[in-house]
Amino acid sequence: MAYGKQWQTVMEDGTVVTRSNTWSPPGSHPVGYGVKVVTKDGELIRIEGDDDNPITTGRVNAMNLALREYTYAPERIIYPMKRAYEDRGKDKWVRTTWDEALDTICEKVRYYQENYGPESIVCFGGTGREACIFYYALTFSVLQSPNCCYTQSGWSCYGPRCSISDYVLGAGYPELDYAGHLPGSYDDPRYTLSKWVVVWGKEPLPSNGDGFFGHCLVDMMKRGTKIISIDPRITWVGSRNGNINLQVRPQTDTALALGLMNLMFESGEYDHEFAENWIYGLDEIKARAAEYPVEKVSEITTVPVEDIKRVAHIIGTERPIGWAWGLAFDQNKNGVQLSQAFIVLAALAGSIDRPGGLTLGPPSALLGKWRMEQRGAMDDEVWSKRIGAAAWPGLSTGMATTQPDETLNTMETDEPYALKMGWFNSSNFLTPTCSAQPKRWHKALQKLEFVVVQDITMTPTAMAVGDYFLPMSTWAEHNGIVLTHYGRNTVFMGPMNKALTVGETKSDVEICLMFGQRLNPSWWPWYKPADGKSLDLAALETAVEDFYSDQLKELGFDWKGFQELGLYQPGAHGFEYEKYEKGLLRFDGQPGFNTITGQIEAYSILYESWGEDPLPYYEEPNYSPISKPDFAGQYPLITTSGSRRYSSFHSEHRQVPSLRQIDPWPWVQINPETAKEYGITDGDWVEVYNMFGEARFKAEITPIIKPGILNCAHGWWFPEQDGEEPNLFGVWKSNFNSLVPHFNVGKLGFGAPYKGVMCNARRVRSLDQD
Amino acid sequence: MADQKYALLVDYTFFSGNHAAEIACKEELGLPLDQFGIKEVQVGPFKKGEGNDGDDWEWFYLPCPTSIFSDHWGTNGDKAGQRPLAVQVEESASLYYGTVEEMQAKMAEFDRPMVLFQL
Repeated sequence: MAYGKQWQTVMEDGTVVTRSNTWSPPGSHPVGYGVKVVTKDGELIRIEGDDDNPITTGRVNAMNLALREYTYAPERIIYPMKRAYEDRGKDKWVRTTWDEALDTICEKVRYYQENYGPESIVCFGGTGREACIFYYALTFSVLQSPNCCYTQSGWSCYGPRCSISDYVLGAGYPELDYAGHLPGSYDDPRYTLSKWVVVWGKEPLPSNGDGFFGHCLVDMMKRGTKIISIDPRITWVGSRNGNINLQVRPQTDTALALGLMNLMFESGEYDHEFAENWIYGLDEIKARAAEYPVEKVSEITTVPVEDIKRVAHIIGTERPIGWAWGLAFDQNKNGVQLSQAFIVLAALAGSIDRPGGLTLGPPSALLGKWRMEQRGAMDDEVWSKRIGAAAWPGLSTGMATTQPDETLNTMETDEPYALKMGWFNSSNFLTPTCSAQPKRWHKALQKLEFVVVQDITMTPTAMAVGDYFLPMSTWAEHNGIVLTHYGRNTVFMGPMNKALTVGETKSDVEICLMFGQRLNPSWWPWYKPADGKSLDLAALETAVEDFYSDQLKELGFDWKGFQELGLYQPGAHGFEYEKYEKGLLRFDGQPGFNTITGQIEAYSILYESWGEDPLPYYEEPNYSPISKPDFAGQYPLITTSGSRRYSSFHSEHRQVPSLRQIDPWPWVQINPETAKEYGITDGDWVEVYNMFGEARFKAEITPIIKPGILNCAHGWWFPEQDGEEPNLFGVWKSNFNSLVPHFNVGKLGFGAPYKGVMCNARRVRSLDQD
Repeated sequence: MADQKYALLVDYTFFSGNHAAEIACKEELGLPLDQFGIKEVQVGPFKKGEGNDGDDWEWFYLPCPTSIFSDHWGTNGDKAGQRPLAVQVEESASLYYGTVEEMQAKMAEFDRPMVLFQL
């Protein structure tokens, strides 16, 4: 039923309806589904949609609708817990208090800071979640360590696309223009519907990557948009009438990008005016693209010549062309070149910062900017000790974190120094979510003398190495702000409004405020407990509001005003297209892009300075039967991974009954021809293996993937199984990331082959039996 | 006067199989795990043409209202005439609910295949 736009309503029967926007935990990207949280007597009754949200218009995804189950799941941890160091791996957790946890943890932090330097503390952050704002702050200004780590080999998720956008385009993340920033949505007079959208290495309907509400593609298709889907699979979107599929061999996308570009240069079908005014290195990129004639590209990618030509003609001549680029750009050793080539293609199609094309924001803004500024809490000497920063400038310039692979090396070798304390902020990376070779990480993590885990449920990672467990509140249990793209292109921003309290759980910002007040009060002045020390819930609530009021000042709001506003869309506050023409992208106020040359760098000055080819090029993936012919007999197949489903966010939601019912077991997609060859029938258990490891899945026989290519599920563990070592909730049984090599990354330190490694497969009896 | 009939209309070309309607019914009706108010069924994907375009593939989902759904939202149901949560939240915005007459009129607005479930 409809409840109106006010942020909270109390009904006659005592039911309370709180208007909110979702984020995490439990996990999701910052999509901000507009919802109504219905509670009674402090209990969550259900989640409903908010009809007045201009983007989601009442729609809510399955995971958020199942929040009640998640909230009251017996596995959920709702009080602070601790465990003796010698009991790691055993289910011997005991309840403690926040005051005790604060005392002990702060004492440990100070001990490591004083005896080994603040750099001996490493903080691991999880992907997509609200933690993506706060794990930087927790590391830099609370713990005052430079070692903030996202453990995915080659930082292969979103970070590379953002960094390349910053280097090549001088802007934040370019997102498909789905009119999300405009209050009038698709009917806003400033908007033009994309005639075609190129959906490349992305399946946004289940994934909602980076805060892009994926079902906008359906809204756009209903209005007449057609899709060009570039993916090793046929996707549901790609299989709608009128759409085109380029079913590319995994990891060969860069060849396809250069091939498309070459055809556009050859035919002259591109936006000449834009290219000549705004692309730096146009002649050089033409010459480079000429090295990729369509026949050669067809052979590399296995995409028919005619289809490549057809798409090049559409991109070159139809307007406007929208673009949605995905994780496949990051999970590729050759991905830096792919991202660069993609930006050039979008520029040639006249899509940059134009209606129905790609929107642009600054490289970091609002909370996204605040999180980066937290590094100022350390002096240069400490900051210079950031792991891998000096060796990998092409990564450490764009990202404020460590180089992930280098971090594992440091933990294994204690070079250049030993890490002593760890803090997991919403990361369960022993489960196949991000880290490659998780068994190596598991062993290395054991060396940490003291480990704090911040999470919502007991995970394999927490069970393996945690000493303290700090329980987190869901998005319905705390106040906060959701903003798309973590401030790198804020399509909209909305309040998360607290609707209920469960146990003694706390949010990311509350944990930062509590520990910051103890460890670094000059950077964390908001929380003022009555006695200066003991947990003071009223003071904490005030601190959260004051913190967000300070963050909102630049937009002219305070927290309460923002709550009442309900949703902030830049289109109502001075948003403009074609900012490069108007001097709105560069800090000096001049027209152009915020790059060294002021143009879009098809020839990258920065790449060149870091020893990388300044122009995009294709490189055969180095764990393929083509590049490793000696292993082709043993591992004749290629497997991709990482595609999402509606039932989970990476490793989350496996313990939620109604979601587990949708996808009860880890799956591998296999073409019928390959399945027949291997004697596999639908539903059989299959072990997928290569020179690095093995993992088990149930076979899904499907024609959407080509013969010889597999697609394996990620993020699997079994909450119903024994959680103690060595089983750890079965975390090693279907661990796809065991098959992904460590440190097989591109020259800038970005990109690992999660979406394409050679492998073999065999039928087995079950998850546990050969 | 005959009892009012109600219907669920599905724009199944664009219904994306996102499971939101399934969970919404379980939540709104307090159903146990093994019961459904709406259950999705999948057809395809299979290849029907020579090429590889969308037109060469068949792949769709249907959100099927069960008798549990009809009991609540059909004729004389306790929720008859009220928008089901499933219809509000379904992510591809491809479900419509109303009287049979309203849904027939709605269906006529589309020039593509539709499914009308009389509840």
